[in-house]
Amino acid sequence: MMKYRFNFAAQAIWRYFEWIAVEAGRFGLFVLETIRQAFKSPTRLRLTLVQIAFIGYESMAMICFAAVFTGGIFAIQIGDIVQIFNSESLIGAITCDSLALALAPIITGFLVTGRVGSAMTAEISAMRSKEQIDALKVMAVHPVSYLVVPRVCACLIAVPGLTVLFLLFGGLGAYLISTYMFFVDSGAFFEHTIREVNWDDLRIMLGKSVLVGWLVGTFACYFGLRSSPGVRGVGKATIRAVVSSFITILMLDAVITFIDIVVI
Amino acid sequence: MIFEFQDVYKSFRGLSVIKSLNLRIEAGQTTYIIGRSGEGKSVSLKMMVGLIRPDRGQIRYRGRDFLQFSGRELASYRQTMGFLFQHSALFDAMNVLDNITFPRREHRRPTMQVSPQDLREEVEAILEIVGLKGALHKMPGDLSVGEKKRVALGRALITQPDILFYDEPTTGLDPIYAERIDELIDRTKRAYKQLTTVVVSHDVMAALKYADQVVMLKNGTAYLQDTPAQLQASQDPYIQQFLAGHWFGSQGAP
Repeated sequence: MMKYRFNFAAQAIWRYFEWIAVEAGRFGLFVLETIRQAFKSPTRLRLTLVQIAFIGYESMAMICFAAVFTGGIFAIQIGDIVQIFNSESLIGAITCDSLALALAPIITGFLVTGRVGSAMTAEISAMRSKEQIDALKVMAVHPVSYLVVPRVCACLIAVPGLTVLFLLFGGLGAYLISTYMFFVDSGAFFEHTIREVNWDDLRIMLGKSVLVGWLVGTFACYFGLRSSPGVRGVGKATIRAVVSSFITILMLDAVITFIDIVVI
Repeated sequence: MIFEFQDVYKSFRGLSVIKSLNLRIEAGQTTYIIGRSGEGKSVSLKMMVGLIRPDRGQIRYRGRDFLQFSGRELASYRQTMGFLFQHSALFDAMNVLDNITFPRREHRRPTMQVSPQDLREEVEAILEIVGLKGALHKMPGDLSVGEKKRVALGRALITQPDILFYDEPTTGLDPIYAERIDELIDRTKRAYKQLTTVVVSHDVMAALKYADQVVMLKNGTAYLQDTPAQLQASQDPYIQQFLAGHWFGSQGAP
């Protein structure tokens, strides 16, 4: 009995790793195909601009609201601690540094995944259900070239832009809390913040945001194109895309932070 | 001969759909593929456009091994054909004009390059053929099922194809609309003399009326491939039962 249970568990674990290997292989081939199609003609500039407007321009209000509140909440928590040491003027510096190094790319990634990534997956999987992907193929149009490349390129451009916006409005939230709640002088706030948040921090933030943008776009399109037919398939694909994006963004952030702090 | 299937086999998740299928599609003719649901009609049609690959067997296109086509060859073949999907497969975000001109804008064949004004006039002419004059700016959501199918036919015709595939063009339509679509298929065939037409259908009467040859599938094989007259004259009990549309017959319940 014990041996049977052990065999059963071993087979289940083996099947799980086998599934991971197969999925990783498929995803790798999908990424390679996306790169190949990106460098092949035709250039889909108009489609990419439409996607940039959808991902970037239409997400700006959401990002600004979320950033002001995130920056504000973070500033309150930090202010509560630093006032013990009479260092309230550092609230802006600590908040903005944390936003640049960790929160801005992650929360922007989460928000874009929720608003845009899920919509992309749902749209592509609905197209798959309605045979529109097959229609593209029979009209000699490569689905990766037409659907994936413009979306991934747009994410690569729009997400870093939104991350910068998140940092600016997060800083605004921190400024409002610092000056109106903790009565920090504006000059002291900006002096410390500009001194603390340097070019290296921004470089890391932009690097992370480019990777986050690529992840969101690629996962959304991959799970959309791999969805099973029907309404259930659309739902399942969207869940997979969103959960995979969330987890991978966090893992990516942890790895980059580790490399930045421990290795470099 | 345009297409030849030799001993083609296809299964999905262990379930055989096509078993040893042998059929021939003649150039310039209208071929109806008929049979009961689940006999592999749509699968065999999708094999002809490279959407589904058989597990084994051979498909020859104009004498060449179709399964060995490179991506580039497959793309250039697809630029010479049109496909009408069962549910039209129009792009929801595009209006009728953009849907119809989509393949022309994408193909970029030098012979197909015309000014936007000329292209629009071509679309208007096609819409007149399919009976949808003035529908240029309508969205797919504003069209009925029959109208969507006619727009999809327009999209298939805009590239001036050599072969036109129809996947159950009258499914889900009322008898009047179905008749209109069948007539449209026939009118299109007459308007484009060299056009090879392959229609997958349940509609036996349309097959008998418009086909040059009929392929009847049964159990994943071509049970019969002949002219409509021969099909009608057949004394085979299964064919008689199918033509009569009886649920029970000498062959029992399907």
